[in-house]
Parts: sequence; structure tokens; C-alpha cells
Amino acid sequence: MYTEKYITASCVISNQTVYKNQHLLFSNEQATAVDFFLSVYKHFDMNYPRFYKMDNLSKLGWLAAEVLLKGNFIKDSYSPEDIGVLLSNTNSSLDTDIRYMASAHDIASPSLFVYTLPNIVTGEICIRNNFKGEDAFFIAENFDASFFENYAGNLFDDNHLQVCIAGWVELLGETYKACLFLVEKTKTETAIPFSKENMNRLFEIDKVVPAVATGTTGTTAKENAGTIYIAGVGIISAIGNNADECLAAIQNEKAGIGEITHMETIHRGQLPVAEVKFTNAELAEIAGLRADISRTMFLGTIAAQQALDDAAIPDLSSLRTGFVSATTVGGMDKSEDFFIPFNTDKSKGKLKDVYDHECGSVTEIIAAKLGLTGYMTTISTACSSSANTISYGARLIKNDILDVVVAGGADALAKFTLNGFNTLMILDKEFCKPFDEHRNGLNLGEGAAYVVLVSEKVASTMTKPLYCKLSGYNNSNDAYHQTASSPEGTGSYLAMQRALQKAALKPSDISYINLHGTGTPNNDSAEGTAVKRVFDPSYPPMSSTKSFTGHTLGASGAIEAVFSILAIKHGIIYPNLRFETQMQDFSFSPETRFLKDQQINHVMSNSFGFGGNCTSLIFSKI
Amino acid sequence: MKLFIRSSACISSQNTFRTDDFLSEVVEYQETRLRAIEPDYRTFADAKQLRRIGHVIRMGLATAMDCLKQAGVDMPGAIITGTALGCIEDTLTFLNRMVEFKEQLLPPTAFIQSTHNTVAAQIALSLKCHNYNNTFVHKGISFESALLDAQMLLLEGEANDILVGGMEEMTDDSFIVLSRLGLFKRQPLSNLSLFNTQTRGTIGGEGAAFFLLTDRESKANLANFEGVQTFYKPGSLTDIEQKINGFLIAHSLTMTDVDLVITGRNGDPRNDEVYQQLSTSLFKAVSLANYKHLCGEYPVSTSFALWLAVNILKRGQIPPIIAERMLNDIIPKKILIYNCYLGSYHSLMLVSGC
Repeated sequence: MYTEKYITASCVISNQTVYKNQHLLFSNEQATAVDFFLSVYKHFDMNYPRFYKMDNLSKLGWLAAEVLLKGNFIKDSYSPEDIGVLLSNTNSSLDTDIRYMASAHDIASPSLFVYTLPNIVTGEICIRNNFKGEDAFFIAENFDASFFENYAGNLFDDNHLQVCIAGWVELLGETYKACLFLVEKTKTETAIPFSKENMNRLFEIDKVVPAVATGTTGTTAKENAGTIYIAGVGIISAIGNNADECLAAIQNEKAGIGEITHMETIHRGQLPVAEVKFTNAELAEIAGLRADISRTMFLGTIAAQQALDDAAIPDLSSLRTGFVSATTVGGMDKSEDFFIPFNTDKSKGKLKDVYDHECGSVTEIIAAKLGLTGYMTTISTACSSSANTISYGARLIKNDILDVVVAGGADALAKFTLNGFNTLMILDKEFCKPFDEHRNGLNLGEGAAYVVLVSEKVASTMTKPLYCKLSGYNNSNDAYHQTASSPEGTGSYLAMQRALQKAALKPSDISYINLHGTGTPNNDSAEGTAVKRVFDPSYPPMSSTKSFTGHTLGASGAIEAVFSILAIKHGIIYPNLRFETQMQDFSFSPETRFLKDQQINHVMSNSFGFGGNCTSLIFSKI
Repeated sequence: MKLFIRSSACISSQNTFRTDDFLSEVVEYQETRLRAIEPDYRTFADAKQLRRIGHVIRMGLATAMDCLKQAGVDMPGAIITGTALGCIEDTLTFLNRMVEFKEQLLPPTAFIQSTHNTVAAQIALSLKCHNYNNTFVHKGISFESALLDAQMLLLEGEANDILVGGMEEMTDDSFIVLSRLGLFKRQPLSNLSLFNTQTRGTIGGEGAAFFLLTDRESKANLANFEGVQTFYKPGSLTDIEQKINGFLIAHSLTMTDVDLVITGRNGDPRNDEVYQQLSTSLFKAVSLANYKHLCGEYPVSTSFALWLAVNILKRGQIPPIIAERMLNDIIPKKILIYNCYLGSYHSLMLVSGC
């Protein structure tokens, strides 16, 4: 009978490097094969004197099995007869055969002779672990994933095995490669289907990870491959002009939504919005910029400068620092001024009003003000834009292109977006009620937020405590409709599920979800369905802080990332304002109280946008 | 790890889309705005969908679909686009209507299509592709940022068969605004004599080009993708030379290993000074080619240059129309693309023959 089978762990040893589950664990570049095996044995503290007696092929296979089984695999939950070992290679035991032949010219070595069979390596693994299920060794020209898929698959389907260690152990002289898969019937959080495609992909990990990054010389990719830390945050929104003010407003349950005061629009007094409580002139002064440019630039500069100051990274100028910023409409507030006269006469309109229309201009102006001259770029994926800057920034560090990245986004209120959302009839004329049965739409907001991401190496030089780490992220697409979310919440489900996988966490590990929670009937129902698919039956506390800040579009991902980071730092959970009635389709409802003294280990932050762009980030306590 | 460009499709103001001809018959224009040559889009989308989507989306969708078809890939592992102005036609349509109708009774369609990620989103929607989807909107390095993202995804092993492209449209209004900002020459001229003039400004263009990046070896691959790098406002010519040398060294190369440099010369003396200087210093012993007289200047014109480069490598021939200075008859094996966008953004892309 056919059963589902999963690869629950993988281990690759090749080129003086050990990988487990696609992560580089250990590398010792200078070593010969035999020295390298010994250094792995010592590095992982494997106390098994029999190791010293083994031939090189057995050492390689045995080490790979040890690394593979270390950690989550609970051997005792299976009976020994249910665990099998199936290995394969191309040169059989040739390496030892040659050594034995050489010894035979003099006095044949019995200790070498016993290893002149390739299946001894499977034996060594079984002896060590007391496995008594089917074991076999196959000779093939290349690693044949489809053979294993069929052969091992049949053993599972016929109920001969519950667990199988399958893979490739090849060694000849200084050339070697082991790639083992742990195959089980039960699905763990990080498990992937047992298929030839997945096996082939995992088999190639040694070609993927020690990659040389583009351009810049300096440290090697391996040095930066580790954890990404959050070293600083900056925020300005309708509920406060910095992190402390925002937190105080949340604790006092004081929303930033109100009447339109800054924009000249016919919707003033009709549609509530969440404005930053400063005029352009006041913001320009705080930001240290001239007053006749886009409001988005003021907001962005203020928040990004706060983040950089907060991080206080020692000797920043000696590091490769980048700036990745998001916005949805760039300098649109000024473009609106330009196009009013332009429309009647194409020679009219002040050019300075349209000069910074492009999204990239906002990034450029902020970077210049912050004195950042290294790599910079701008992302625009609608309402998930600034969540994507954070994962992109982290990847620039992981790929050893940069050491430090300031990432986030900014969007000021503009008539363009207000009217746009109004035509879609998704603006609530009252204050929004995210995740409420009687929710009626969103309130637009404005603001900016940035985080400072640093590599492990930079983190180790810091004297200030770090906030947390970015442990997971994913960008998936709903591929359903340009503006509407699918009823199944496919995109958001995939983003959450894959971010958990990336972080190697279970849904039950999440302490709090900062929902996208716009308050539109469509979003909250799709997101709710996705949350149910991932978390049912045990839901962590969750809330939408858009009930305070409004929907800040290109800034929202970063604003909510900052709230998620602060939740970990202070052990707090935010209330979802104005929630009254639980949504009928769901058994859960958002948290309505401000909770202090919480143990917050992992926070998930959701950001979904037009074009089906769905991104989930996971921040974790250090 | 080796990366490859499996396939490429390009819509431009030349006959570059779905043709075996490689720029042997060049289209000449007598104005400062080069319009893309439009294919019959009905092959790529039904009439109902076409009516709704704007020009840049059509160009993006058609090149993306053709690129996938050439590669024999049904479902890309990721979709990444670069576009500085995005759906500027829909953006300005909505903006102008908002002004004209005083914020009342506006149809939503133009707003819906106005977000910069619409092209990437429409491709995902057409393919029902739930994978990674991103859009970069940073002026003259939008396409390069998308390429870098694709390269990182491949190196991370997060995705394979990545569809990456750049697209930009020019509308009547954006052409007027950019002209008023002094980007374009004031007098009409033949695009083919762009490099013979000394007047300020260049010619405007538009277009879309997609590439399928993969780590899988295949005889069908067009080229090896070696790398991409950008830098901003370098201090001096020496600084630029150091950046270019550093980029080559990171790929274990020097300038003598490069067979051809394709530069972003655009006919504006202010912009071209840097290429002029390099042609007598770092680039003095290498063959040089230009492309903006064919496609015009636009923020993601380097996607046209990359299409050009991979076709030169695959076909083993350099179209005479792009040659600026050929030092030998060698069939190029390594091509460097160097572009400087409006004096601020510099980019390098390196491709080699398979």
C-alpha cells in the first residue's frame, strides 16, 4: 500500500566540508581526506574508538550517518528491524582494495582485507546504531535518485521499513563524497517529500553553498553564511515619532487615525486616515532636508537615521554597508502638484515637483542624507515591499556582498493612493476593525520604518545588545488575481509555511503573529484561512497593529517588523483595537489586550500585497 | 557553481522578437523617441486580458512567455523584474483622471494596474506560479538589481530556472516631461547617426527583455552568466577603473581576457565622456561596441545589451551595426557590458561562451 515518505534530514560530506539539512556545519579546507575525517570526528565530539580501525570508505559513511542522525531523530521510537540502510557508489571498495593489494606484496594485512567489501560501511552504521532492517549496497555509475525512490519506496509501501538511511558513499584516494538521506513516514516541520527531484537537489548542495559571491572581494562566503541579527530599529508613524512613542501609544490603546489635515482633497472629513502628526515643514526640519521635496523622503530619512543611530555600529565606515528601501508611489505627492498645471498646458508644471517621481529617488535622497554610498536599491511589490527589503538585505549579507544593511520602507499619504483605494471601495469610512466579523475596509496611513541587519561577524564586534535574529523569511505568490486574495489564502499560506521551514520551526514555536490584517473583508478572510491551515488547532496570540497605524502600504512590512522585533525585546503582545465579533468562519480571534511579561521567542510578521505578493518574516530571540 | 542563461527574448525598437535575423536589417528612425516594435500580442494573451493591460505589461508578458517557451520551461522557480517607472501609462492615466474629474467617479482599472509589480504579478497569474516574485525599481540599476537577486537565489539553492527581466515604457507625457528635463536632443536626427553629433541629450527608448537563468548545464544554454555588479557615483576615473578591475579579478580575469566591451554610450557628450576616457585607458586594447542607437536610452536598456551579448556568444558573430572599434576578427568568448546611467549609476555584467 502506498504511503507518504519524507526526507527528514540530509547530510553531505565532500570537499573538506560537512553540510546538514543544506546548511554548512563544518569546513577544514587544508586537510587531506584522512585528516579531514579525523577533524570531523573530533569536531563533533564523537566518542567511538572503533572509528580509528575503519577504512576510509567506512569512516566517510559512518561520519555522514552520525551527523545525519544527530539531533532530532529518536531511534528508540522504532524497533531495530524497522530501520534499514541502503547505500550506493561507483568504485565499490576499490580504494581499500588497492591498499590491500599493496600490502599483499609484503605481508597481506587482515585488517585491510576485512574492508575489501563495500557493504562493510553499511555494517559499520548498523553496528553503531543497532539497526536490523534491510541493508544493501549497490554499485552504479552515478547517484541514481530514481532508483532509490523506487527501491526504498517499495520497502516502505510493503511495510518492510519504517525508517531508511539511503544515499551515496564514494571514495577513491583524495576524492570523496557522501550524501545520506533520512527517510521516514511521519512528517516533521522541516521534512520535504521523498522524491528524486528533492534528492538530486540535496545531492548538489556542495555545489551551491560555498559559492563565490559577486564582485566585492574580502571575506569568504562561508564567514557570512550564518545568522543575521537585528542591531537597530527606527520608526515614525501616526502613533509616534520613534519606537518609544509608538509603544506608549499602543500600551495606552491610542490609535493614530483621524481626519485628513495635510492633504487638499475632497475626501477630507469623509475618509479617516492615519497621518504622521507633523507638517511637511516640521518634518523637513527634523530630517535636515529642504522642505520642497516629497514627504516620503522626510519620513524615510527620519526613521532610517534613527535605526542607524540606534545600532551604533563601531567603525561603520570600514564595513560594506548597503541600503535597501521600499516605497509604492515614491514622490507621488509632489508629482500630483506637477500634473495639475501640466494637464492643461504641457509646458507648465514645476520640473522640481516631478524630478523625484521615481521610487529610486526616495532611496537616493535618504542614502545621501545618511552618508551611505555603497550598494543601494529599491523594491516595490505593493504592500509587501518593505518586508521584502528585509529578506533581500539579509541575503545580501549571507551572500557576502555586504556586512551591514539598512532595510525598510517609507510611504507618505498621497491623493493618488487615497483615490485609488477609494475606487476599489475598500476604505472604511469609520476606524478599521481588522479580523472582526463586521469589518468594513481599511484606513490608509503613512510612515516609515527601517531595521539595521548585521552579519555574525559584525554582531560579534558590537557592544550594544542585539535585538534578535531574522530566522525565517519567504516570498510566495498567490497567483489568483491582481488585487484580490484567493479564498484559500494560498499565497499567504505558502509564505507562512515556507518561512517556518526556513527557520526550522514548528507552528507551535510561534509566540505571536503580527497579522497583515488590513480590515478588508477579502484580506482578513483569506489571511484567516491561511492562518487556520498553518496553525489549527492551537493558535498563538495574534493581532493587527494596522488598527493603530492604518495601512502604510510600502512602509507597513517594515513598521510591523519593528513592532515584531520590539515584542521580542520587551516581552509584549499588542492589542487589536476595536475588535468585537469573532469571524464566523474561524475558531480564533485576535488578542485585544496589551500583554506584558510574555515569553516571546519567535514572532511571525505577515505582509501581503497587490499582485499576489505575499511575504512572511520570522524574528527569533537570541 | 556555474550559472547559465538558457534563453532570452527581447522586444525593442529593432526587429529583435521572434526572429532568426540578428540585427542585419536595422530600423532607422528620424526622431528622438524610438518606439518598441509591437508583436501580435494575441499569441500571448486573450483579447479580454489584452484590453485590460497596459503597454509595458504586454511587452513584459510577451517576452516572458517567449523566453520560457524557448527554454522549454513551464514553471519558473522565481519571477524577478526590474523597471524604474513601472506602469507609468496607467499611473499617469489615473493621476490625470483624478485631476480632471476632481477625485470623483474614477474607474479603478488604471489604479489596479499602476503598481510597479504588475508585470511580475501578471506573469505569475498567467502561469499560476506561486514561487518567489520580486520587483526592483531603482532607476538605472533596476534590471541589475533583479539579476543580482536571481543570481543569489541560484547560489543559495532556493530556486532554479529563474525568469528575470527588465521592462520600461515611454508614454507621450513621460516623453514630454523627460524632454523638458533635458534628457533628449532638441532636434530630430537619425538614430544611426547618434554618435556623430555633439549636441546635448540622447534619444529616448523603451522595451522589454527576459532571460532564463539556470544552474543546469545544457547544450541549449546561450551563455555562461559570470556576474553583475553596480556602483554609485564613483569619485574619479581611477575609481571607476579600480571597480572594473576589481570585478574582473573577482572572476579571476583581467582586461586582457575580455574580447569585447559593450558600452552604454548614448550620444550625449556629458554622458559619453567616461566611455571616451576609458577607451584610451582601461579599454584601449579591447574591441568596443555600442547599442543605444538601436534601442534608445531607458533605465533598463542594459537588458537589451545583455540580450545582444548572449546572442553574439551563441551565434559567434558581432552585428556590424554595433561595432565601434574592432581590433581583431576573434569570435568573442567573454563579453563585458559597462553602462553608466545618467552619470550616477554604473553597472557591469559579464557573460562568456559555453
